[in-house]
Parts: sequence; structure tokens; C-alpha cells
Amino acid sequence: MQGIETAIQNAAKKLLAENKVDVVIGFENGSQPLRSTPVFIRKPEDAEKLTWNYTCENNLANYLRKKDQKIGVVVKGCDSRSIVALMKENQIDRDKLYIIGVPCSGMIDRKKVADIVEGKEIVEAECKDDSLVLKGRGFEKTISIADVLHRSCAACSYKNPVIYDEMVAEPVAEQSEDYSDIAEFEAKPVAERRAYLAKELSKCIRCYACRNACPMCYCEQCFVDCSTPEWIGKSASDVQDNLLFQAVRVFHGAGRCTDCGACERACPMGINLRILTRKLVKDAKELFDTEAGVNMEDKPALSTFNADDPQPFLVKE
Amino acid sequence: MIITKKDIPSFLDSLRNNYQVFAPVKQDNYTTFKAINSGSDAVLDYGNSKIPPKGILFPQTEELFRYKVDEKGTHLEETIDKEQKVVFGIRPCDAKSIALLDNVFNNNKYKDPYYLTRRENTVLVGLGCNEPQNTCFCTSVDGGPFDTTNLDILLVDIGDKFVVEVLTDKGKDLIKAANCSDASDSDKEAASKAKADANVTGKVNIDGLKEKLDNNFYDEIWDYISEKCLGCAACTYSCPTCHCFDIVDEAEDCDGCRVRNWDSCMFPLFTLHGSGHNPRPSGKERFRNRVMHKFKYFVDVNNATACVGCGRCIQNCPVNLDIREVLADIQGSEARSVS
Amino acid sequence: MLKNLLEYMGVDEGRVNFSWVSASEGGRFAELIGEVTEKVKQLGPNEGLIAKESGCCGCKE
Repeated sequence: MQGIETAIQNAAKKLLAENKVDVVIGFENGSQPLRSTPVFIRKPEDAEKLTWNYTCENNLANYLRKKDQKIGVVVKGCDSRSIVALMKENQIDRDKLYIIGVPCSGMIDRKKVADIVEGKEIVEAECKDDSLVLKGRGFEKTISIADVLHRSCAACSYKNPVIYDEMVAEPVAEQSEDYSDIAEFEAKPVAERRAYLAKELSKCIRCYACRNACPMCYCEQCFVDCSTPEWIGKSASDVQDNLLFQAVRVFHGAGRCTDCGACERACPMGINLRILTRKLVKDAKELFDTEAGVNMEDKPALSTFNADDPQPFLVKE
Repeated sequence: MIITKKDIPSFLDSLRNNYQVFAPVKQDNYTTFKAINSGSDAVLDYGNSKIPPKGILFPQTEELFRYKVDEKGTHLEETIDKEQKVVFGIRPCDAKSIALLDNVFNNNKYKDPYYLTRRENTVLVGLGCNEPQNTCFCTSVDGGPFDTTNLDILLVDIGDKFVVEVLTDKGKDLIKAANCSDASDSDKEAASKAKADANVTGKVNIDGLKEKLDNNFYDEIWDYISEKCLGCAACTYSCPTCHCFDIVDEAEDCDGCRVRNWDSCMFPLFTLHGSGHNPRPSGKERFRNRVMHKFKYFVDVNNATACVGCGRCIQNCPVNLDIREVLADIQGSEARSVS
Repeated sequence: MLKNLLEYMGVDEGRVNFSWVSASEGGRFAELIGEVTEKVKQLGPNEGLIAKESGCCGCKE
């Protein structure tokens, strides 16, 4: 981790000193244990604020759309796929972007950590190789980082950036994708699926953090803000509307979502959003053999028509 | 007076005969205030709730009235919640925020009957904070871990029991149903010690902040200070003093209801005019407005800072945009006041 | 993908139907609608997504 951090700082310093970019977007230490926060570095001497560790969970591709400046950005595998997907939609100009790629071993899920310490406050957290030493008032616990990674990180099959101008470390080993969590949910009886989804979405407060954290969500007027016609109500008390909000949001990402997990990480209420997003990622793979943002050549799944596209959804004549 | 922790569930159950009782309950790995069905659901060993209990007095969705139109004319039915309520285990910061909300919903220009009826029918039983969290900064905004503003009763945790400080007549009536005994001298000493030991480490310096905000509307600091903000409503919906709302009519033909929903100044639609013009077109203007509202405009109008230092915005923000750092940057200090 | 998502989220199988029909295929369209209507009627009331229109404040219950 330390080596990566220094490499990122040096890369940023050089880019800014040589005027190759106007700003470098990366991470700096957060204001609480187990958090980092996005930072916008504009002067070479500020590059030493940049950090890299197991808490750099945000998808920085979210800050890259329709920008005039030359930007340097620090990306993980998932973020780099979002960048590719956005480039295909003309939201990012490749010539104005310098990508510092970081092979990623996964980010920590603070909700899992909170589960382990039963919601008690963590006053200090220290990373020691593969373990995390957590200290709170009256307790100290060492846990394995592998046990508390975000589920999207544990299942990740693109840990190495697919696009970059420089890589600051050796690539890490990849694993193949695994949609068994979705297959398991699909196999449940309809009533059980309905009950689970209703329970999860009853926690929703309609803050739209999921929508705003997603790099692929960038409509100037979101459908939830439309009042003529009012596609869905504004109230968070209507669980059916909360479900409909997710259904439409997730469907707007069909074939575009890279399963970066930013939506689930942003949700303050801890709703299991990936059970919906991953369903469409799985379908895109099964129906069209595509994965969003893995290379520049593939055409986006839902913007392409082939005569032999599967059509299992049609009414059988 | 003393009440043992073991007696709390039965006390809450007895209260449920006459009141709708709200208490902190566990949901996943956090706590949230809900109306309890059983006294044993209440969890009093908690930092603070994920979202504040202001929704009990000012719900996220509230029906103002319903209407029907038929041959005889229009019929309006106002729906005001008159149920007696108890909010058990509210933290002093959240109780203080209600005093701030009073400025909005109960003033010379307007008295909101929905909020006020609920407020009059609600008893607030506070729980002092023996161990403030590292995101708390109540003492910097005129509050404290054992502040009694707006509380009817304050409970002080001294181990296996609470010392009960009755503060109002409403509180006195409520506590009659409890199995309380007298507090011994050592109990009282333990309570004083708990209060003295409670240490709020998070600090912000708001001296001179309002004066700086009076003059820095066009300062370039606003271009940078909220660059990472996503523009969601996680902070506003987590904030005990935020009170902005939107009113809509939900109708089917001629029948329907008028509903008030929470709204957030962080959304672009918040200030969108009918003409299409938006005076706060980007996140920069909206974030500047949020900070100014809490630390300048509210002070101008009500002589009080609209922040109680609960720290929820810091905990719930997806990008860790920390209001303490923002205020420190505005004040011009390089050293950030975080613990 | 939409059919898959809706059925995954709890809409009964058979309620979401797609077919290509051109504007000049009036007869076929009518036939199709009749068939789908029969099929959905046999499924009974919807209990999946947007089953109960409870309204935001419960006033429609």
C-alpha cells in the first residue's frame, strides 16, 4: 500500500509540475477512522496529501463528466470500466484525461465492520498487512481484511484497470465472475422475493445518494423530478414507489452498469441495492455476452441491434 | 430518583397504554427511532440514531388534508395527529434541535398546527451522553451532552440504573407510572461524575463565523470547498434542524389529498423557477446556501445557529464531506479541528 | 431485460408481454390483446410491484 501511495503522489506531482493536467483527482485521509475522501489537487506541493489504502471506496469517474479541464485521475479496476463506458457515451474526452491506474485488492465495507463490533464506535483503526486492528472504548479487535471487503470487491473480476496511462503497481490476480448470489435469489419463490425487496426498500429515505454516486446517472432532469407527468410520487413512505424508483434507476443502467457498487456504498440506510443491479449485469452477459466498459471496441449492449439478438421475451405465437 | 435498567421495558409497556411510545430500536447495524410494540424492543445502549427523531413531530410525509368534490360541493377533511406520544431516549442534541425547529413552525407570522399539535402532545425523555462520539461537536454550538433544553426528563446512565432528573410537569406526570426509588448520595455522585467525564472531542470554532459569512458570498473558496459533494440529500435528511418541505396534491379525478414531504436544498429542482431559471444552478451555489442557511441566515432571523453538532451529516455523507473541515476552512485555519 | 427485471422483482410471470406488431396489423393486434387479457385475467389480481396503490400517506387505503 505504501509503495502505491508514494507512486501516486509522485505521478501527480510530475503531472502538475509539467502542466500536463490542471487537476489530479484522488483520495486523501478522511476525517474519521476507516474513511478516505475524494480530493482535488491543483498544486504539485499538495500532491503529498494523496493517499491509497483499503478505504478508497468512492468511484471517482463520477467527477469526470463534461469537464473542460485536463484532469488526472486515480482509478481502480471498476472505476476504469466506468470511464470506458462514459467515453462511449461521449461524456468524457479521452484526450483531456490522464489515468493513473491502481490494481485493486478490494475496499473495506464499514457496514460489515460495524456488524462485527455490534455498532460500537471505532476510535482508531490500523492496517497491519492483511489484518485490521480496531480500537474502541473498552475494546480492541483484530479482523482479517478479507472478511470485511465490500461484496462487490469480493466478487470482482476486473481488479486491474482496463484503461490507463500509467499503472503504479504490478497487476493482481483476477478471478472469474460469479453470479450465484443472483441465481440463488432468482430461484426463490416469488412471494419471498417480494417480501425481501419490500423489507429492504422500506428503509429508503429517497435521498438519492445511490443515483448521485453512480457515474452512469447523469440525466439533466431525473425521472423522479418530473411532475408532469408524475412518474412516481415523492414520498419515501410508499414502499412500492421506492421499489419502482429502483426498478427504473437500475433499468436505466441496463447494459451500462459495471457493478462498481458505488450505489450500495453511498446508501446511508444500508439497502442491498446490488441484488437488483447485478441482475441486469448478469442478463447482459447471458443474453448479449457483453460486460459494460471492459474495452473500447465493444459496442454498448442496448445501443446495438443484431438480427440474431435473442428474443425470449416475445409472446409465443 | 432512580430507575433500574431492568425496569425500563415494563415501564415502557405501561406507558404504551396511554401513549404511542417511540424509542431507539436496532435495524441492521444501526439504530433508528420507531414506535415500539414491546418495551423490550428499546435499545438504550447506542451512540445516536441513523436519522434523527424529528420525523416524529415533522414526518417525512404528512397528509395535510383530504378532499372530495361531488354534486354538493367540495368537502375538506383536515387530518391533524392528536395522539399522545412519548419519545424515549432522545439525545440532548436532538431535543435542542426541536427548540430550533420551533423558530420555524411557531413564530409571529405562522403557527403550524400539524407540528404544534404533535409537539404539545409529546413528552421527551432524554438520555444524556456519557460517551460522546468522535463526530459530535455539540459543545461548540451551544449544546452539551447533558443539556436539558426542551426535555421533560433527563436520564443519566450510571451503570445498571439511570438517575432520573424530572424537569417539567409533563415529565412529573409521566414518571408516576415508573417503579422509581430514591437516589442515594452515591447515585447522585455517580451522575455528577458521568457528566464531568463526558468529553466532546470534536470542535468547531464559530466565533466570528457569521461575520465571515456576511462578507464572503463571492469568495472563490466556494468554488473548491464542495467539489466532492454529490448533491444527494443524505446530509439534509439526516439533519435534526433541517426543515424544508414541498407540498403536493396527490389526486385521482376530483378526490385526493394534499401532502407535505421533506425536500432538500441540495436538489437542483429546489430553486427551479417556473420560467426555467435556476438561481442556484450548480452544486457550488447550493452548498454555499446550505452553509449560509445554518450558520448565517438562521442566525440573522432567529439569533441561533441551526446546527446542534450531532455529527450525522459527517457519518452519513457518502464522500466524507465534513462540516467541521468546511467551517475551519472558512474561518481560515489551516489546522483542521477534528479529533 | 425489462421483462426479466420485472419478474425478478415480483411481477407474476405472464403479466409482462412483448410482441412486434406493425401499425398495419390491426387484426393481429386485436387478437393479441384479447389473448393477453384472457391470460392476465386468469392470473387474478396483481400482488407484485405496485400492487396496492396505498398512496403516499395512506389516504387511498
